[in-house]
Amino acid sequence: MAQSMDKFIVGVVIIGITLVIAMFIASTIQDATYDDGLGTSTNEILTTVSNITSSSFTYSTLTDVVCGDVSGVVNSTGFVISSGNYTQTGCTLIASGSDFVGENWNITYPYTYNADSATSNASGDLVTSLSGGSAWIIILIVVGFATIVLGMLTSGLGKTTEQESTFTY
Amino acid sequence: MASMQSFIVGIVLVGVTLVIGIFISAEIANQMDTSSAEQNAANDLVTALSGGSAWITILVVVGFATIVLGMLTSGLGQSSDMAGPVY
Repeated sequence: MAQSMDKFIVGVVIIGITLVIAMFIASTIQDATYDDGLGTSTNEILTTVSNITSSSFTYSTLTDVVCGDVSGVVNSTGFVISSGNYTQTGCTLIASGSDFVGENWNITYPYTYNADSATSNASGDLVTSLSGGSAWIIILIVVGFATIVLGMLTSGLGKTTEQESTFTY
Repeated sequence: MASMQSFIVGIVLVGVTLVIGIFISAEIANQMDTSSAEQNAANDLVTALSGGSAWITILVVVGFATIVLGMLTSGLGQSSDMAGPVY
């Protein structure tokens, strides 16, 4: 019984570690096989720019995106907003003064990102697929331990029955 | 238990091999003349192999389900064997 328990636990742990290592490998392959993407967002409108909350650029959600410095910043009436009136952090911008706050701003910026390729998509799919295996390990553990406990109970009870039935009174 | 481990190792090998195969095919396609028959064939191979990754989800689910059902049936079978004679 103890031997089967050992085997079961070691097996489950090996399966779990193998799954995680495989996901790590697939994820690393995914990162390494992205294509280089680049573009320029021209006259993108940031609505109601605040000096409290940062406004995110449209392309800020792309994979590993890096936004260049904004240029051509104007308000809705075409008034040029100088760089002293805002602070850009990555792909977000926040007004630094009280001027132009609450207005819509037009900005232009370049950006680079990691574009999906067939290989990176397949690697991502593999990571997702293998992730499903981790969820199964809970079921494996429950069923495995239940089987071991049921086995212990039934073998123990079976032995008791055998011992009791040896003598007839 | 050994079958469980070989199942997982098998799935992982299949997945990683597929991904590497897709990468090699995509790199070959990049080196070919644009829209040439060779490049189209390499791209077709990339598309075909990409479908395999999606199937791995089904493999994982079916594989684990088989293992769990196998454990249940063998465990319960063992329990009924151990129940001893009926008096």
